Amino acid sequence: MVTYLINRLLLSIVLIFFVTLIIFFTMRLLPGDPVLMLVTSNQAQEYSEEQLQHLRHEFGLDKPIVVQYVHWMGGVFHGDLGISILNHTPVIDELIRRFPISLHIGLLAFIVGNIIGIPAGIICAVRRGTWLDTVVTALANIGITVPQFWLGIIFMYVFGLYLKWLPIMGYTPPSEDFWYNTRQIIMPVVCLALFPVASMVRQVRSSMLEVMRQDYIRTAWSKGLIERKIIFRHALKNGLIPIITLAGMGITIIIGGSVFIETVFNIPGIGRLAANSVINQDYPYVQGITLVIAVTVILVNLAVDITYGWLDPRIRFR
Amino acid sequence: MKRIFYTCLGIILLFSLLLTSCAKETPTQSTAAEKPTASTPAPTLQPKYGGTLKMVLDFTPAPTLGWPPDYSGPATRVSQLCVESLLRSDFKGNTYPWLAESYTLAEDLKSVTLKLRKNVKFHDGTDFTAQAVKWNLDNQMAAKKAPYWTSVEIVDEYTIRINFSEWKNALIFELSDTSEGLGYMVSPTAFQKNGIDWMRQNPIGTGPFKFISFNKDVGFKTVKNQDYWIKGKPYLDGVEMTIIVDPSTRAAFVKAGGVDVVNTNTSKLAADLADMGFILKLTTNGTWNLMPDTNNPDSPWAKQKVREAAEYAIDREGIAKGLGWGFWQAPYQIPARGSAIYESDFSLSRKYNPERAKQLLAEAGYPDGFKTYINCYSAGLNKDAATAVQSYFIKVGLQAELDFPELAKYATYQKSGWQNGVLFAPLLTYGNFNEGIINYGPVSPLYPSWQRPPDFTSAFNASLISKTPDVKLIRLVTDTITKNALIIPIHETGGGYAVASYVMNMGWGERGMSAFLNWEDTWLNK
Repeated sequence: MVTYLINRLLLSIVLIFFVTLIIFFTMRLLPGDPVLMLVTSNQAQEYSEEQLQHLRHEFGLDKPIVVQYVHWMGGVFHGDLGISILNHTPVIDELIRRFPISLHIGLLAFIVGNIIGIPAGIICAVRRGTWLDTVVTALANIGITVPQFWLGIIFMYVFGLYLKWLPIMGYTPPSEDFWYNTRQIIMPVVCLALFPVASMVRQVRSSMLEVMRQDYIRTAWSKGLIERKIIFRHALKNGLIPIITLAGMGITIIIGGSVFIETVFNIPGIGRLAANSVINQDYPYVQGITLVIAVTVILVNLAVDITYGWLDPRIRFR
Repeated sequence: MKRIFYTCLGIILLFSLLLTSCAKETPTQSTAAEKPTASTPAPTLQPKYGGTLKMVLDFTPAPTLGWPPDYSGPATRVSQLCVESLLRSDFKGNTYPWLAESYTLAEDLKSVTLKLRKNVKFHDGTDFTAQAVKWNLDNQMAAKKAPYWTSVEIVDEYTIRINFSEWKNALIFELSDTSEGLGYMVSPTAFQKNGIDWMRQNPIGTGPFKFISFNKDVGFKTVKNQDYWIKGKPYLDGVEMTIIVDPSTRAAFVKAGGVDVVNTNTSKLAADLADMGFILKLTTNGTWNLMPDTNNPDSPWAKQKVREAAEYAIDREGIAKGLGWGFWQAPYQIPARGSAIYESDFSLSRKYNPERAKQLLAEAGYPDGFKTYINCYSAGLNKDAATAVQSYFIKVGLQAELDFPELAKYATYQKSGWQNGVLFAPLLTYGNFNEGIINYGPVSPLYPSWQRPPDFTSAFNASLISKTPDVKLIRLVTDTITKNALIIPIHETGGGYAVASYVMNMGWGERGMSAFLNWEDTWLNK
């Protein structure tokens, strides 16, 4: 197990390296010049070529790309993710400010997605063919197709504006006002959790149906075990492997969805920062955010892989 | 049973889709959205102290709030609460003293001497003196923002002199509070203590409000400056600006209440805000125009008949009516409606006449039209207007392709030129019009693809060197542009604020640009 973990960690480091390499070079292949973007953001600045070169030198953009990458990776190992071209602020400061916000909402969406999705999927499987199965499956199909940003706007108008049940937008740190923060994040969390819930319902239903057909389940029924024991002690655990895989993938979906949700609900998270940074070609931000997301996804996948071994002792770690 | 269920579900879904997606709103005429006129005198009210004004912005200010050499429009709209300028200007381009008590232009127009107000302090408690002013002005020179300044001298503790290499009448205007004004004052002590990156995020000026915080994408907070140099002011306890970029979110937030001022432009949002009971304080501050590559001899646009044809091809009345939400009129000249140089009896209008357009194209040697590009400046662009221009062009045979380059790519057009096409971009009318069109001047390195013919160059230079802005000389410049169809105005642009009825004395319309307000005078009548 320890060997397996070490191997996976080493592999993760290699993966992170390749991801950052791809993003670093891809950003620089995009047309446009981030220094010109900075200049035009200051409107009507008549920068001479000399001044533009000076700016490029200030941000290290005049060096060869390989040198830039090595310099940046060197900074990463020291906790320095660079300076934003547009804002002249350390990237790490902004990430430290924003990442907990996205993590807070994303984690809650993940938990909600699984807490609702797994039981709902079990119910559908156990009550297959009934009106309950039909309704829940239909809702799941709708959940998969409905765009998150559209739903967010609908929620905002219905619950925020007309019913006035919840704040329309924004994010107040829980340390400042926990109850207000809780009310503020209900809508974004629900919108983010929708797709994971829907896809989880479908996957759990499918997995459970397959497991419920197995001989040992029939044996369990024959033995007279109660339904709850059959489902939770025998069926669910065997059907969990694809479910855990999906749960891990749900994290990436939540990260992707956070761009829209943070924009709609005006939440200052890293999703929104990522979108703005790509548009503005603010390389350091894009690189820093990509690194953070890559690390998060890789750690989640590692957790998923470890969970396999716990779920199914037949899987041995070598 | 299942069939009935799925049928009902399908009907419900279809109905909800229809409800939410297919409802079209038609432009509403808003009585509050008319051209700004002098307001009828209201009964005099005594200002009340107290209250925090809450404002919504639709943009994130550039992070240059406390570093004037990097100032731009979005930054100064926010930083004006905290940072003041040596002079102020009004809507007609007249300048008057502000942090400077007075200013005197030398007889030979080679220098200006400014006497500074005494007993003014920066927010960090340090004194506003000639040393501080020189430091600020030297920074502008170091950033190459003042090409006509030769030096800044300290005459005494509260007197400063700026020496010029040559006279341009925009030089005094530049010391006032424009978007990229050179006269903004921040604390040198704060800079020496904290450095430039800190200053960019922290505006430490002399203004009526002290900076508390700025969070990118969230908002900007200030609190009353208890030691403001105008005794008895400001009236407000503070000003808080919330940044909401998404239009749906912004509309919902404003509708929910609790917002006193919304920054807006002449658009549907303004019409909606008027319907919600806000009072619109908007000005037409410029025009969106087509700028053809007249300096490329191989380009069809180098021929005047082609440019005139393009003008005749576009139904500007239709664009104003269809896209202006009641705020626009069709522009046939470049100066903004309401500005000092706008001519109400303008006679050079080339009104919509597609047959005339085709005739001119044939005379120019393009009876079947030609292929061309419309390169659009994306910030603030009304894409429907760009599409409308394209469709009008196609009707007369100009096979126009729309391009929406990123700002960085657009900047390369401005600096390096463009081929066989037009730029579609705004031209704002500053109080001193020369300040607004300086980039189009003969010595500007920008827009190399745009020709400056001799009559334009001589009119431009003459307008620059008059002692004060001369409306007649500037009109000669704009008339030359229009006569030669060097720039083709398409639609108006404007902006300002939607203000709740209890917000008093914002001073909208009194300052040089619509975004600048008299924050020290503002109070809440509630």
